[in-house]
Amino acid sequence: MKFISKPNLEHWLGILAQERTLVAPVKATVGERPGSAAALPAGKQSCYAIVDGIDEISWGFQRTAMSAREFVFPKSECLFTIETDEQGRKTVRESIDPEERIIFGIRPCDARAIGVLDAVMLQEPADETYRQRRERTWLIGLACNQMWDDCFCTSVGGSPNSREDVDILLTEVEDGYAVDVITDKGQELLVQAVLDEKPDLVLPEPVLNEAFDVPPTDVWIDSFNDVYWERVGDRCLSCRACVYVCPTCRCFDVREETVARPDGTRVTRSIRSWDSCQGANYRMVAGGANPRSKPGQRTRNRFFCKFHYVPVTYDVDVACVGCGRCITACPVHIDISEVLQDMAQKEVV
Amino acid sequence: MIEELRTKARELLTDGTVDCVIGYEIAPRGDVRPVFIYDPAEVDRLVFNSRCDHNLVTYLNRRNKPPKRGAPVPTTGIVVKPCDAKSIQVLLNEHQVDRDKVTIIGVACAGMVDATGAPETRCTHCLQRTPLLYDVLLGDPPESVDAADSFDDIEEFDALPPEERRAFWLRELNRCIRCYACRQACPGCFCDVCESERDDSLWIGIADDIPEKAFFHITRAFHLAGRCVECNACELVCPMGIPLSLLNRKIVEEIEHSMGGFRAGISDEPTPLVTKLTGEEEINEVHK
Repeated sequence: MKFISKPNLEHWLGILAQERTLVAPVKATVGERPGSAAALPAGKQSCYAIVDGIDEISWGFQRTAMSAREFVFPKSECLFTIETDEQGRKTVRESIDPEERIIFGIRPCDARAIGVLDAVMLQEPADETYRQRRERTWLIGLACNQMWDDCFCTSVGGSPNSREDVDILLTEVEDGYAVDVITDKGQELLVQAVLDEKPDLVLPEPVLNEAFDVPPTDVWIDSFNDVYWERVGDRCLSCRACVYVCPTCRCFDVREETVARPDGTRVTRSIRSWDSCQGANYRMVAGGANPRSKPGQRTRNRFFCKFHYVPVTYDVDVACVGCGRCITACPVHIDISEVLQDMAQKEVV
Repeated sequence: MIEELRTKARELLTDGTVDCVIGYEIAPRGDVRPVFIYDPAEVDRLVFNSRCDHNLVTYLNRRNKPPKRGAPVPTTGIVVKPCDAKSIQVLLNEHQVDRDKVTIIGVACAGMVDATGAPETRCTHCLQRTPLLYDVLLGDPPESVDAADSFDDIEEFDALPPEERRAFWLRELNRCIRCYACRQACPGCFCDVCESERDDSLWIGIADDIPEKAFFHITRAFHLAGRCVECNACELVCPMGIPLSLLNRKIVEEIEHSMGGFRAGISDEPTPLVTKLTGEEEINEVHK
């Protein structure tokens, strides 16, 4: 087994950060303000961010508040711009030219989530902007030594030390990290790293949460009209927190937004932004009809998307990686693990 | 008090006074969450404790708008703390809630606590221990703290140099992910289409940039001027921990100091920042 000492790892990341953009877990910046006593809960204390140097990296991080999804599929991006001059002549400029990026410290669940995004976005015809960005992204995974409070990756086919979808997987051991090189892309990065060979290195066993049964893909559709979804939807606020913290959600909206300048010229930006199936206007169509007008119908959609729609449509077993972020983020404590267990127990008529 | 609450809910559901009671229950992981009880046999799910910090009144907006045009508005029993009662008063003042359709189960409140057990900041400057509005009152009101809100927190923040305040807000609002949990949890945000979600991007575009986020939050705060009851639902539900109440309380302070001590939700007086028609106005010739 290959091994890298902590100083050598830091040195290597320093070199990588000079050559490419480095994304790494950092401590969330939370404003301390007068009269505020509450600190952010553990699940919200860190996030992934582009770092200038390795001293910004938060090493003892748990799960980050937001996943690394935004670094392969940004919250919003400009696809192209149209400049209109005083004579009305238009110039179209494409703005997609993603930089080379390394995501360091991605957790195995988030890496698997990028695998889900790949299956959906890269299915032909591929989403070109996603493909370009994805091809220029390296994933250096960091195995979890334990599952956190709301995590359930082992119930959906993952594990805290899964090797899936990363280029390199690091596992924390004494004085450094075990290095598991998984892809050629990963090997390419390691050329500049000082590694040791430790044949008798024993990897620690992660501390697991108890797994539960997840209902198989084909049983979901029988519950489509079940009043259960209306009851879950009763408390749902129809906000978008669950969807935006989810590492596998990939709905988006595209709009052309024009700004007129005082000199008579205009600029139109074609903007693609994350969208959500939980908002009231999610299924609104021309004429105002809305087949998903009730919160429960949209709550159901989120669960069906993860466990039925995506698995039957794309080459994915299940589109939930069990990171548990939606459980932490939900203001009214709608709990995906509870829903899954309710569904598994349900006697479908 | 929990037994009284369950008995009352059972009674209201059994005699048909209400179709549904909205209250609180314990979620599987031990958190308190909203619950909708339709069946008298399920009233034992209801609880009340110092972690019941959701403002359930936001759900009345939804129930007030039946999915089919012309369908009757369902009747609702709702568990209401003193701050939540002020929200109902604001909705009544703005003709958003049919009082006859709502049975208010008021609960005496000693203040809510956060996850660490410390009193929630908003509760430390709340004077009400009993809801101003209720059909039935449960629990014994604790001693009232007889001290006026000093707005110490706002004054302390105001004392910072403008560039520091600006930097603070840019940093805080930059964390916003535009999930709109703040708006959805707010009983005062009941527009059918929010200006930030118009399909034509007329006011706010869809980009995840600071101007869009700041515009949304500042506009929302302005729209709540004289209407915010400081229930703090917006801040409590924010998944990114943005101190939204600081915006709202600043405006609460401005209005209290400049408009004769006005506070939202304590009387049937709507916000002084809207035009109120007296019925004696003359219609302009142009519009005849």
